[in-house]
Formats: sequence, C-alpha cells, structure tokens
Amino acid sequence: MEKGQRYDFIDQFRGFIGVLMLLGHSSYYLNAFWKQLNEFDPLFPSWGQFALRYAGYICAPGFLMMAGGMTWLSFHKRLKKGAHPWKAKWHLIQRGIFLIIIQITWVNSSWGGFQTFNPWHLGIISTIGFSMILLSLIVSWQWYYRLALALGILAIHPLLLNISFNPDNLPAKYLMEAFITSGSFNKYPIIPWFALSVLGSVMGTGWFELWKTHHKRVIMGLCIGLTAIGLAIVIRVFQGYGNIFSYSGFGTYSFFIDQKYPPSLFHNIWFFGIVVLGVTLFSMIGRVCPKCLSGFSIIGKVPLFFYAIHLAILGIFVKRIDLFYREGSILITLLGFAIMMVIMIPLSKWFYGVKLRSNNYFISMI
Amino acid sequence: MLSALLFMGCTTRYKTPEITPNSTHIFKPKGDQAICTDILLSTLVSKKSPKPLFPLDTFPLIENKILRSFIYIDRQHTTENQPLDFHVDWINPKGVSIFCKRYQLNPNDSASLITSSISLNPDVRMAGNYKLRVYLFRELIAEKPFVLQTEEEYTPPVNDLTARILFGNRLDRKTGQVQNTDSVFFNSKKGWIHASVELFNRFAYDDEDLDFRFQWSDPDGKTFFARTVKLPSSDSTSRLNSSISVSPTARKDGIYTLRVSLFRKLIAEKSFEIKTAIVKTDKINVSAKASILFCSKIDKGSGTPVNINDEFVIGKNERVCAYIQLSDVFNPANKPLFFNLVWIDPDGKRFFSKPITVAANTHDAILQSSITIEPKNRVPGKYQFKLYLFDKPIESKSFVLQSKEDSK
Repeated sequence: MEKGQRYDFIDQFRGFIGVLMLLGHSSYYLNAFWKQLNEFDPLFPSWGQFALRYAGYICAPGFLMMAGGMTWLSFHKRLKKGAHPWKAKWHLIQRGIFLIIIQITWVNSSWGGFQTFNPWHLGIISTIGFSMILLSLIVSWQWYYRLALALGILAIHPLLLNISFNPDNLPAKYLMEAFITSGSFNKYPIIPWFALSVLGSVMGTGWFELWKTHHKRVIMGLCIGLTAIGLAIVIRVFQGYGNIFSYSGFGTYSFFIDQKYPPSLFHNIWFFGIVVLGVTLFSMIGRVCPKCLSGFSIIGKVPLFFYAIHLAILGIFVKRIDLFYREGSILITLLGFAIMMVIMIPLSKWFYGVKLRSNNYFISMI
Repeated sequence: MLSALLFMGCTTRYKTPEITPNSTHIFKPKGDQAICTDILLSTLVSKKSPKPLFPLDTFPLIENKILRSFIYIDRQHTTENQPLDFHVDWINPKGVSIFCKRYQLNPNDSASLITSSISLNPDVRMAGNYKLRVYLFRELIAEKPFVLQTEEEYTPPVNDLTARILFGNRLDRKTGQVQNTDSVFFNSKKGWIHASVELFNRFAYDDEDLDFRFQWSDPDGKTFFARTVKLPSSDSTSRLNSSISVSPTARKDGIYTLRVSLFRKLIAEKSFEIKTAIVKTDKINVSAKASILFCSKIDKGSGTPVNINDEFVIGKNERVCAYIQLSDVFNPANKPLFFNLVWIDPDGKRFFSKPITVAANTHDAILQSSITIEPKNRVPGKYQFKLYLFDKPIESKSFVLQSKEDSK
C-alpha cells in the first residue's frame, strides 16, 4: 500500500461523511419538516424527506468508525516512532478529553447560536471523546480480541435496553443515558457507539496494516461490508432480537430505518457494513480517478473544525438571527446546503494550512 | 450508500393522493397493503355506535371540547401477517406536531377503526389550518386538512341543527309559545321568565336521540339552574321550553344568560336583563287612573266582562276575574310601567299576585287577573283586590265570597 493513498481514502470518506452531516444539519435548521419530526420516533410524509433524513444516519457510525481507525493508526505510528505505549495512550486520552470539553463548551451552545451557555448535556462529539479514551485502553489488543469485544457489546446492548429506570430519578437517568439509552441528556450512549469505534479500530488494523495491497483491501472490504449487510438483513427479516421498529416489507423504507436513538443492533450492523463498503468504494474510486474525490479531502482533514464551524454559522445566522429557521422545503434545504458548502470549503482549506504551520497544542487538537 | 438510497426510493405508496368526498387525501398502496379509506372529524359521537355525528372540516375553539378523528382502515386486501404499526399525528398551523400517538392493529384483530382526539380548548389551540396525518410503518398513507376557528369567527354550517331563543313572561301551555316576548324583565314576587327554544333542521342527526342542556347563568356567570332534555328521534317536536322564577329575593339585577347545548356543543345563547321593579313613583313621576270590575268570566271573543258583581258564590269550577281599565296614563319618562295585581284574603294575607309590564307609550289599557273560588281554595269572607303601579297602590276594591248555603 502506497503511503499517500492510505490516508487519502480515509480523509475523503471522512469528508464525505462531513458533507452528509452538513446536509443533515442544513435540513435541521432550514427544513420546515423538522417542526413535526420526532427524532426518536420518526415519520416521513414523502420519499424526499426520508432520503434527506436517512442520509444523515450514516454520519455517527461513520465518524465513530473513522475515529476508531485513526485512533489505532495514531497509536501505532507513535509506537513506531519509539514512544512509550502509555505516552501514546495518554495522547489519545488527552484528545478524548478535549473532544468532551468541546462538546460541552462549544458544540452544545452553538446549536442555538450561542444564545445561552448550555453545558449540561452530552452529544456525538463527547461520545467520540469517551470512546477514544476507552479505546486507548484496549488499542494495543490483537484485532480479534477487539472484534470479539465489539461484537459482544453489540450483542448484549439490546438486553441492556430492557433495564427499567425512573427518568425522574436524575442520577439513574444520567447514568442510563450516558451509557445505554437515549434522552434529553445524551442521544448517543457510550456503550453501543464505543462498540462501533472498536470495530473501526479493527477495520483500521486491516486497512493500515494487514491488507498490504489495494486489491486485498478492496476484496476484504467488500467481503466484510457485504457480510455485515447480509447479517443485518437477516436480523431485520426475522424481526426478533436486535429490532426495535417494525417494518412493512423488504425494500420499503420502514425496513431500513430502525431506531437510531439509541441504536438497535440492526442499525449498528447495517451502518457498519455501509461504512466499510463506502470506504472500500472510495478506495476503488481513488485508485481509478485520484482527483475525483479530492474535494472531500479538504473537509476530511479537518473534520472537527468543519463540524464546529458549520454548526456555529447555522446556529447564529439561521436560529439566532432567525433567517428562514425551519421555514423551507427540501429545495431550500439543498440551496442552504450549497451556500454552506461554498462558505465551508475555503474555510476548511484555510484552517488546514493553519494547522500544518502551527505548533500550538490546541490547534493540533482541532 | 447512494445505491441503497435509490433502492429504497421504491416506496409502497403512490405519490399523488386520491381525494375522498370528505376531503381526505388517500395515498393508495402499490401492492397488497392496508389502506386508509377515509378520515372523519367530529366533536360528537353517536351513543349507539362508534361513529361521528355530523362530521365536519371546520370547528370552533371551545373550552372543554374534544375533537375526535375516526380513521377507517381497510385490511381486506392485505397479505401482511403481522401487527400493523400506525401513527396518528396532529399538526398545527405552524407545521408543528402537537400530538402523535402510535397504534398497533393485530392481524387477528377485526378492528378497522382508529380514533384519536385533541382538545379544542382555546387556551391550548390556535385558530388556523391543521392537518391530521396517518402513517403506516412510518409512511404517510392519509392526510386530512381541517380548520379551527375562534368562536367569533365560526359560522355553523347551514345543514347543522341550530336554535333560536325567545324570552317572555307568559307561556302558552298548549302551543309552547312564549308571550310578552322581551329581553328586559322586572323582578317581582312570583314572576316567571319563560324561554322558548325553536329548533331548525331538527333531524340533522338522523335517527339519533338528541341530548339538550339548558344552562341559566346569573350576572356573575354562575350557572344557577341547569336542565337536561332528551328528545327521542321519534319525537318530531321542534320547540323546547325552560323557565325560571323571578323574585327580588331569588334574582338580583343584571344580565342573565341562557345557553342551550346539544351533545355538549353550544347551539344557542341569549341574554336578558332583570331589573328591580321597586322604583319610587314620586321620583319618576308616573300616574294612572284605574277602574276595577269583578266578574265571573271574561268573554274570549269580545274580551268584555260577563256577570259583573261584587258578590260571588264559592263553587266547583267557579272563578272571579278582575277587569281593570287603565286610563290617563301619565308617563313623561316614557319607560315601561310595572303593575302588580294583588289578591288579599279575609285575613289580610296576599295569596296571589300577578306582575304585568305595560309598554312605555301606552295611554290606556286593560289588565286582567283571575282566581279560582273552589271550596278547597277559598273560604267565605271579604276579599280585597289592590292594583299597584310600581310600589304604590293606585286603586283597590273589595268583593265578597259566600258559601252556597249562605247564598240561599
């Protein structure tokens, strides 16, 4: 595997996920449909609204898996440079803590355009942070132990969802929502999402170490991705363990949309397969047409900056100043998304330059 | 991912809805799936069967009112052997979901009707265009637009049952019609206010028995008398009555209101005023001359007294009528005049009084009042009849009742 190619397809796919996330957030702020959408129990008046919402479903699994893969890569690169394992792990723990702080300081408040300081809940960025900290503790394990751990967690999580608790009992609510279920305190419980980041680290082992050639990476990616999707379909078809929402029939969109908050077993396995296939596809396209996906690299190299800044811009201008906040249709959403892309691509490019030139600790963390 | 999304573009429903006569938008399935055949909205539910009474698309916002939806599902063509997962979502004029509920219909369940309700309380609902959406497995299968209006904006549809209220201080027992209709009444001893409620489009609810409720409220808005009237579908009556007594001790001055509801839906409301009749005549400077005649009856055709006398014999079906001729009515303030016709027994006790209001521009008039003189009610002796204008006696006259034995 060539050195440059190894990083490009990851950056590109991460950038692609970032673009889908911006699309989802543009919809969140501009699409009138969100006034009636219950994220925990979604209903769709049209195929377009379904597609717009479903496109964002890949973002959380994609980011968790990419974070897992990059955690594994970062750790082993530091080891190769001669760093002590705990020093390499400490770097990952610091980054995890940084992400948690970013969530409760910047991200939480940016949703409302910084109208209020709102540190008292968690979110996807803090869950990535917690997962990174936990992953740092097992990152040195062999891939098959990590795989067994991840699959074990995913298999057990549906049972944990049966734990009953009183939401008025705040310690119980915070504990359950931090780790197992979803609610106003945290939509992204650590346990199932950590499992996906562990699976990402396992895939990172393959992408960056085990599968030495492009051909091998594609074959393994296709096999693993299709196997995961096949397994997910089997889980879904039988409508038993690992399913939460029911569906009308194979091929209907109710078949594909199972519960996201907290994720069902089907949701996790399905999107694991989709992410693996997506990365493989990007790797294949990158080999055939290296410049075709290079636009995504710009975003994929500074994903946290892209996330934090686009959310702040939308929060300030659309929510706080109330520019078309949840007034538009799908077309307005797509128009807003295009405008945001025009703003965010040069900003991301600029920040990547700053990051390359800077030795500042905080800049390097973003 | 993209190919997966494109694959999922094969939704189970047609994009273009079919619109039913009840303006329900139905998104029909492409395959053998359950369909929603119609959605009806009503504030009234039949007691005989779970069906809406008088379904509409526009409703007034009224406190304590509930809007019910009846969602009809046809499952006969479905091959799905699994519970059907429905969501019913109510969306307000701002596009915000105000109430969403999940329903499951099991394969063995013969039910084909889903009902869902929201409050029509103006404190929690705004006026405007609403939607009721029905989803099957998270996919929109039917939509019903409807309108909520403020009570002031709302006009009942012409084919709905409506009512008109008339007030009067006399009631014709035979016809049920009120007489001396007015909206201002004077407080007097043993007076009555009768309300006649005329029903229009009496059979708007087909064969449903009608539950009416009359609520009389005082100037403080407090209901002091309520009465429920059941009108069976077999009864063709189109007029209902309700009455209240008026007396200075029971009623205070002010604006009173009668509300008539049908199935708890307000269909008519009218106010009237009760005024105290105690007005000092010297202050308002009114006067009238009166001559009193007693007779045994008054000819219905000519209105003239028959058997004029001052002595009468007590007997079965016998009566004494007072025939009062008013003249030279002096009423410079041009206000309605309140007369009280009082009958006093030999012990000096008032046993019957009759208030009569005379219109402001009257210069002469005939007043009448009568009592029975049956043996069970009256004793022989000297009786007195007094005529009051407001609180001032303006004329009085006596008459004698004799027993049959004495008269011989």
